[in-house]
Amino acid sequence: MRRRVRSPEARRGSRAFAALMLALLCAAPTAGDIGGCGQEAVALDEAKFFAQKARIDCGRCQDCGLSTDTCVAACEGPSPSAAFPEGCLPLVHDGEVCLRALSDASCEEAARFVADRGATTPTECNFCPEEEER
Amino acid sequence: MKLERAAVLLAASIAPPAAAAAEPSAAIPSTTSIEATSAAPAPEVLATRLRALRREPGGTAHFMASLGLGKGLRLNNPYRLQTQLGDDAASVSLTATYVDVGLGAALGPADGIHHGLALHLGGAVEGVSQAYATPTYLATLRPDPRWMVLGRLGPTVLLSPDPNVGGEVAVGGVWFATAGLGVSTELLFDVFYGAATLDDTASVHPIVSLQIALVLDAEVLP
Repeated sequence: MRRRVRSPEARRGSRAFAALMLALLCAAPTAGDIGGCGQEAVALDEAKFFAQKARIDCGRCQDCGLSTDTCVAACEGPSPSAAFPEGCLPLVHDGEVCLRALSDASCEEAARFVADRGATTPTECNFCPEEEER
Repeated sequence: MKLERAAVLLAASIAPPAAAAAEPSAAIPSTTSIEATSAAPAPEVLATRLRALRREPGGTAHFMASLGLGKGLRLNNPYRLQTQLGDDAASVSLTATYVDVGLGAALGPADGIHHGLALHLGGAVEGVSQAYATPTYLATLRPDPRWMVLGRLGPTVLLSPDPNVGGEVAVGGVWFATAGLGVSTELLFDVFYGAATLDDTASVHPIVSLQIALVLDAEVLP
């Protein structure tokens, strides 16, 4: 293949395009945990969900060497008072999404979830956001 | 030297082989005749080569491999998947960054559109573990030695955490730093039907993604 002589403008244009593509790098098809097609809307069992959540929280605490009061409570089992907010009706897939998000969280994220002060909740576990209840 | 060789080829194409052999000086300028006649192959050989050069270009095959990274925008997010960009679940959200490995092969005329197949495999590199496979129809066109445009169309199969099948359309371009090594960028549009919600029997998930990749391209001539 014969190499063409390119003008400086064309070379600058090519470099700019390459730089643009690289800049866009951090901006397929990983849809996320959207569930399987055909999965029906079934109400999430409260007791099963909180038992699973406590088990996962406890596991993450142990894996990441965390020892907060929330960790201690999680390892003792689900709280008897644990319940979904009033009027909130999460589905089975809501629960799956939440539990997978907790399970796959990094130790840094897990530490924020089980912190005794200023704990955060992954958006996946915020089944009935306040703005949707209004 | 190139000019001299071109002159020899031109002479071979104008004059019949026998005439060219009999009177080489009549077809070749006198300033180049000594060197040209002493170095050039027989006129019959030149004529054969010239006929081959004048033939219409035949088909070629391209084999491509790519390694890239991408990220997408989810246009519907009923399950509040990370990372939400707005205030509520209906807002646009970012998908996990993913790594993508692609293989493709396409056949076609050297100066036209190639048709073939591509297979892309990949998975999320952050958040919930997810793998996918995308077997697609592939069309490529190389309008310039430095550039290739491509399009893909086919299903996307999500392998985890829940199996799902969606559709994908992709368009992109490759800029080649060398004949066989380039950088590509692709814009992808995917649609998936996910788990039901309280409002819909199946949630619709349109996703627009952008990916950039290193591309290896090998051209095979007939």
